[in-house]
Amino acid sequence: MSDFLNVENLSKRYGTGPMILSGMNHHFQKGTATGLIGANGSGKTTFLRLVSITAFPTEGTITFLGEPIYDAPHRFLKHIGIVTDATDLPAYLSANELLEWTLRARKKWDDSDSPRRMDELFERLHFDERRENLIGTYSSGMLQKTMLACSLITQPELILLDEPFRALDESSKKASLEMLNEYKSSGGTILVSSHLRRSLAKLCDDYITFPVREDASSPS
Amino acid sequence: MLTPLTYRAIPGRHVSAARRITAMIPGLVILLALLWLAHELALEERIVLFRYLAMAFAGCMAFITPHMLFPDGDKTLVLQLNPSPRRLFLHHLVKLRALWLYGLAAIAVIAFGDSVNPAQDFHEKTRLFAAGLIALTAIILYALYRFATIGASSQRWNEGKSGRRLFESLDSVGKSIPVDAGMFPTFLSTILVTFVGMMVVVVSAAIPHMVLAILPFVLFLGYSGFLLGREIRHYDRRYYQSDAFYDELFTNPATGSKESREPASYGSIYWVPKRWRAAVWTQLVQLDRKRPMGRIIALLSFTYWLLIWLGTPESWHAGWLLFWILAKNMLAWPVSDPAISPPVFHWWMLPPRDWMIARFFLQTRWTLAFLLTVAAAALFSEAASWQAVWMWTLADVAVSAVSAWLLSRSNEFAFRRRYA
Repeated sequence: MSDFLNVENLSKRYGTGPMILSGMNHHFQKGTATGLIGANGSGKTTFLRLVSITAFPTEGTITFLGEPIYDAPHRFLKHIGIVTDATDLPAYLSANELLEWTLRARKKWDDSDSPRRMDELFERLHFDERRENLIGTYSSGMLQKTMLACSLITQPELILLDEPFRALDESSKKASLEMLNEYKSSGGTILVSSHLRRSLAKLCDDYITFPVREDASSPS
Repeated sequence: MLTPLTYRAIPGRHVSAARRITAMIPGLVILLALLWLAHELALEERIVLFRYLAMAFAGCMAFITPHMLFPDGDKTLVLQLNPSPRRLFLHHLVKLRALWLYGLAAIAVIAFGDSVNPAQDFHEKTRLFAAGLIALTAIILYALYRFATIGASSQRWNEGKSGRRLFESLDSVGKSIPVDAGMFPTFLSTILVTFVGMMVVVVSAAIPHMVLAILPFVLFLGYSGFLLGREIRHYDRRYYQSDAFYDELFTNPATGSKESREPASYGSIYWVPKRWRAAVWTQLVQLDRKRPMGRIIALLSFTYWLLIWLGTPESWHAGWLLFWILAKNMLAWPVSDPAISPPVFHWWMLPPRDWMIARFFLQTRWTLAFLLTVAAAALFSEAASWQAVWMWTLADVAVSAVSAWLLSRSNEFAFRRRYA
């Protein structure tokens, strides 16, 4: 059994409503990409929210390297990068400044190396000179590229992506997939959700299908 | 290039200078009103006024703290930056800083706002200010402790794991608690913060010696500091769990739980002309889901009558009515948030001027309740004249108009300026 990321008996309901997830068990291997597949409302985003500690489970636990992630969120969050569809990034910073801020806050800034890495990342994401413009002026695609850049620049052990390709054009999607594959080859682990299986075929080694909820059931 | 000063902090969202100044206006008005009340008071009267203010502050913090802290609008950034538990605690303190500063300013006005003999009793006034500083800090820290650590228990109540027997036994005798199960820990904390804060003031008032009278506040501060100090190491867990709970409750409509109150129907907005009725209805329904306005208005009215019944000075009645009007208007400010009023969608639905008119109707929804509140005072006491009833009602209408203009200016008109 992998010690990397384990989900045990995970269940989640909002209030006293129906179970969104019920008794989910899964072991995620290091260095793999797992696609979370399912129709709208099947629980993919809820699962990602649970792993990213923006929601807490009703039952069950998630452990990372043997430690329950909810006991010390700050310690767990050091190891992960997150790309969501949330667009509430600071409107009055540029993408460059946001990345610099992320690196410094996570104590990963290096005066000599970090600017070069940032430039390389933006180049590969086809993020042109608008990386110097304010985030408040960005399109949804540019916002997603910014979030992807923020996640990759810190070289975390685990990246969570919620519908990361939805707003991207074809060339940006291709570039993102390339970078995520390289990240995976270097030992990174990916959880990515999409309702479009085809988008994930070039990245994922494994899939979890979240069924349409007639009643509470565990994803397979 | 970011400087260490900018990257170390977790700032709130950028707010324009105009909006900051606008947000300060109600606080400044209250401070001026307080100065007007206090400028000729003797020392003993200042001490009494301070006690009332401290109790009001405890009540205010009891209600406002969860709304100030959760859900955190900076959450996406917080996740990216992953601040340490200690830094998350500081992040929360900064969010409450403005209230603390306003409270301190009010205490300073009460202690030193003396136009008759400014230099007289200076030592006693300084002692009063010190007592106020300690009291307010203790209240804020206690409120922070109670609400920042509430996530785990709230989730248990929200999911029916706790409190089921209580609600079932109340149901069986045809009674109910006027809050959703998930809000019960918040409801309890609200009562605790109010009660404990007020009791500390009462205990202090019972001590005749002026220096020793500060002791209850000092002990309360020590206690609040101790409670919070225990949590700082694990503050990340408290922060994320409490934020996750309030995020589900306040911003995720799909909680799966039935709404405890029926939303206002379109037909109930019959008093608004047809052109604006749908706009008023959608704003009203959303605002009601965010804030229990009816209960807040009832509390404001009840407090006004209580002040009359307690025989407090007339200037206090006027001060409270002013607060009533400002609070009612300020509580509706979320309607200008893009989450409730997405600018593009609003632009599509109605011109900005119509949104301003719609918000005027939204704000004057409670004007009749206000009029009846003051009219009851005129009818059953000598605390208000009928002339005052009409003057205060007109004041409410005027402030509602200004508020509607400000809200629309920051949303629809700003959108038009930017893109049209």
